[in-house]
Amino acid sequence: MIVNENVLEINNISVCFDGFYALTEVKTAVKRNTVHFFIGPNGAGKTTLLDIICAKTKPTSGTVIFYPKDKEPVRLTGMKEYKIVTEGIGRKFQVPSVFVNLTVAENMILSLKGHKGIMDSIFRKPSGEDMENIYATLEKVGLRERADVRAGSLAHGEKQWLEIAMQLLQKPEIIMLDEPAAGMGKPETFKTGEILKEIKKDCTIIVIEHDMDFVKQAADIVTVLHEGKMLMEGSITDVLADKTVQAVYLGRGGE
Amino acid sequence: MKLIKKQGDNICFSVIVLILAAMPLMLNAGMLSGSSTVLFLGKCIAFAVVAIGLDLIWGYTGILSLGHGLYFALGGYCMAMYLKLQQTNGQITDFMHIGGIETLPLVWRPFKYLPLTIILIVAVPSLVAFLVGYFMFKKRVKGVYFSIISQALTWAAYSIFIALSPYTNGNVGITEIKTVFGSIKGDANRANMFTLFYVSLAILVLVYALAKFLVSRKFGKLLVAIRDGENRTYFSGYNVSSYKTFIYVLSAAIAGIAGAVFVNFNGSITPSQMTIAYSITMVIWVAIGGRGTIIGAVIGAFLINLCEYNLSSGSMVEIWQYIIGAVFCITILFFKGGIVGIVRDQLPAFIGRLKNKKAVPAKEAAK
Ligand SMILES: Nc1ncnc2c1ncn2[C@@H]1O[C@H](COP(=O)(O)OP(=O)(O)OP(=O)(O)O)[C@@H](O)[C@H]1O
Ligand SMILES: [Mg+2]
Repeated sequence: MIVNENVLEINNISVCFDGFYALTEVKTAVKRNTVHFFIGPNGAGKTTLLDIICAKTKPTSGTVIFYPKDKEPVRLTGMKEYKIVTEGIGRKFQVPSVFVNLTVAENMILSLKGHKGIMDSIFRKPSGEDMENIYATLEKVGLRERADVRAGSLAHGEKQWLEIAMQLLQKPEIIMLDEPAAGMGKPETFKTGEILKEIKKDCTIIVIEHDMDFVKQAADIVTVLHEGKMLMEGSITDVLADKTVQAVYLGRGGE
Repeated sequence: MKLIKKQGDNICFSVIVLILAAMPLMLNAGMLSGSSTVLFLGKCIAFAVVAIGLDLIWGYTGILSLGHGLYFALGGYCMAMYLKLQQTNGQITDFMHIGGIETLPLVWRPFKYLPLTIILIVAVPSLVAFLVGYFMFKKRVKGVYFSIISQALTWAAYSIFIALSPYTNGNVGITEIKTVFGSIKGDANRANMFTLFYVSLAILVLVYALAKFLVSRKFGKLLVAIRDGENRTYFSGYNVSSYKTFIYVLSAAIAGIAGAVFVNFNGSITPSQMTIAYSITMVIWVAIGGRGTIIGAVIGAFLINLCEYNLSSGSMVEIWQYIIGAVFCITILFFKGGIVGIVRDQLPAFIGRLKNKKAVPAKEAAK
């Protein structure tokens, strides 16, 4: 069987907010098992693009097609948000949003794949296998020891990793991360990069980030957005070498 | 010590239940002046039941319903209609006569039968709550907007019940009724009263156990998740609006049961149980007791009603409303966790700080 090497295709997406185009004719594809970065100055439309993919925002025109492994392609535009999650696309928000009043383990339990119905959550306990899976995933992001701590009392970086772990647990084909390293120190950022490189073996990762060291460390492909338009796409070395990119973005204090 | 920390709420609840269970015995032993105390505590049991339901929807799920009086009253009316028909032997009532009705209206007919009545006590509030919840939560009506709409609906229902006075006896409500277990007036009928009291207490225990069970499961964690991050819960793949509808319907059903218990002790039901003020009072019990704890709802319901019972006779009656209002404001501003929060979190923290303070001068003195 031929597996499409693209996992996501974004076809000519435009988004118009009251006459203001946040995105114009964006067209790109994301390859399976890569770390795909979207970078660009503030207001470039990066977050909006993620909103489109997970159907939080409706595009004015264009489509997003998802190619699941071993399954028929799915058109994401027009689907319900929670349906998209069950299709296998997870998202981490810009603001850390773990459930602060639940423990790390409880946060993970809520993220388990399947059994999302009311009756299941009342009568079904997570199986031993599920719990093992939870602890193994926590191990991957270095939170195994913190399983019974209230998530609200975790450090900022730990919260971000917990969120990534929660996403992983749903066994998504795509994980979208909006500025995962924001507010992190150098060592934490580096660790986040290593975590991304580790988990891309199991899934595809779409990341928005400003920290160029972090991009260099983890990126396979970089797409540069500027004022809602695609500026260029390529490997990090190509992007850094590009004159236009340097002019609009890198020149401005980024590096 | 660990056991107390972990099981503190269940221990506290057991103590409350034991004290309540002892009340009829104390009355028999002549330690209580009259049966009015027992009747009053019976009403408190009803209040505690509705408060538990309210805690599930507000304390756990973060949906502030200011209209639970409606569901309480619906359950109450169902019960009262049955009890009234017991009095008239299934014939039409005098207020229907006055209203010009000749035969028993269709809506009253199911209430000739106790099993059907019991079903309707749960089903009527559930159905109304389902319709309200289904559309509101699907449309993602949230926060203050939900609270205001829940108030408006309660007000509308209140007006309808008054307007339909040939069917509901309007302002006066349904009065002159006995209980499910017959008359409880006078010493001769004490056995009836005790049966009623213990059955009600059993209902409280069951509702408490149900609530505790639900919040201990993944379901309960989800309610908290919805309260703390609704969007996040959607993205975790949960159909939040159906969860919200479910818990809203459940808490309405619990309120209906509470209303039915209340009618038995109160001997009447009036539209005033359906007012906004009454609904807000229920919210105040939960807030002061400590929301999101279940036991807090029970404590709040008993404590505030006991205070009101003891204080609002005599000179305090006029300022009681102000006192309770002030206490509510102070709770919301400074003690978000209510009484339970103070005992569980703030007091240990305070003692800890005191100990530290004492330890520091002691060390310095040692130097
Ligand atoms: N719901 C909305 N209504 C109107 N305008 C919006 C809306 N959402 C975003 N915008 C606008 O669209 C533009 C792109 O926003 P977006 O959040 O996608 O930028 P970004 O690239 O994520 O920026 P940042 O780096 O600051 O996160 C901004 O100018 C923003 O003000
Ligand atoms: Mg953004």
